[in-house]
Amino acid sequence: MSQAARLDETELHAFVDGQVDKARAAEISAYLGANAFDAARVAGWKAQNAAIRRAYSALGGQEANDAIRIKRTADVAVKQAPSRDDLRIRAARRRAGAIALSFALGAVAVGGVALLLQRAASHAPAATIVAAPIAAPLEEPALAALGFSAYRAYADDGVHAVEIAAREPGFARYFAERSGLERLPAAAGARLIGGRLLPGKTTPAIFLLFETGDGAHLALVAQRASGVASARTAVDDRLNGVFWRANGFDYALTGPVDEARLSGFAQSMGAPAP
Amino acid sequence: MMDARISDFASKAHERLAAETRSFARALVGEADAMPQADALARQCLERAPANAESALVREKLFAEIVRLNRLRIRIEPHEGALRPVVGAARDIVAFVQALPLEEREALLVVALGGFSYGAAARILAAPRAVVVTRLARARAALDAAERGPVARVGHLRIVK
Repeated sequence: MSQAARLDETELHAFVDGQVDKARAAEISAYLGANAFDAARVAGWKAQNAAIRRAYSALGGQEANDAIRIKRTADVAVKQAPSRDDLRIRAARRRAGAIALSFALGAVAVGGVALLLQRAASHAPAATIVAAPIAAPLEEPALAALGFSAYRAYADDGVHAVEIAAREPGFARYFAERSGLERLPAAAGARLIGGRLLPGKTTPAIFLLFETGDGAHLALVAQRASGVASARTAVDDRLNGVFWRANGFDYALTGPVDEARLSGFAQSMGAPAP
Repeated sequence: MMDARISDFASKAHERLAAETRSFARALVGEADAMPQADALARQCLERAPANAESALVREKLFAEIVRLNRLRIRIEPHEGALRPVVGAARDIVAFVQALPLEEREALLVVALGGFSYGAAARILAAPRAVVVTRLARARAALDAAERGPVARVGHLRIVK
């Protein structure tokens, strides 16, 4: 390799990141041996990579056990309900089964007429199962999305945030009957303002609006449990969310307060401690 | 005995992935006062990952999901550019990385911290491979400049809602 010919910079980056094969790596090493300027750049980038791994890896170890504990709890929920990928594979298997069955029936019918055709039918191509795309997004937690969108739609509406005020007679009975809840959750340290019905996944969901002592609005959405349980917490812009499943219902509590405080309200409503 | 060994192996793999996910989310979020959000984001993605979370494809999907949710969090479309801070008195690698525009920080972290190939990085960032490499090169050039001295790096300032 000529010393005068400068290597393309993208190739130097690929070399630093181990993206070139051994033969090319040897050529680039030889080139760097004769080009001090590029050799210094490559050494600098390698040092940057090492410094980034060192600096950020230390961050990841903190409180990792907490994440693992939650992950294992979530594994149970994932096993209880099929994921989107599972459903795709099952559908593909069903299609494959149907194709195979049709080929088999065809082979039997034709074979009854002529042995030659039966032999041809026995060489029918096998159906294949197509794997799910690699970059398919993970399943969206429906309740989390509903909780956040309901908050944004209603909680800050100063005029019609709720359809029925909590002081209305029969308020609790109406929402309990429509949702199927035995009794409505109450929050320690937050006042129930009112509620409204939302279209839920299987049955109507209820939206209850609370006000904390310092005037922040919290929205509780509850509906009959279905599908994969949501993550315990989530953030969406300025809102935090805490989600839990209890007694056959899914709950989403969202609001513009920090996660720890929101968890406290959620626990007073019946959420398990983290 | 064998079951115990398998269980121990799976446990260590989960532990490693949890640590990786957390550090990646923290590095990506960048802002010091948003670390709780970064942790919540990492937890959320980890909880939603399938049980065989140690497989390479699942790891790739997990990182892609963190990138996607972080973009949603700050409401920035990566191709539209980002608020580009000026590298000033910062003197350590973490500060330098945090000062990078989002799309450059993403590319650098997915490759340097995540250790993904350029092809995988392109899938994770939902961008063509060439674009990822360009962003990576720009990020490294910015770090080079920052390490050389406090030279103001003023780019195209743009605040995106």
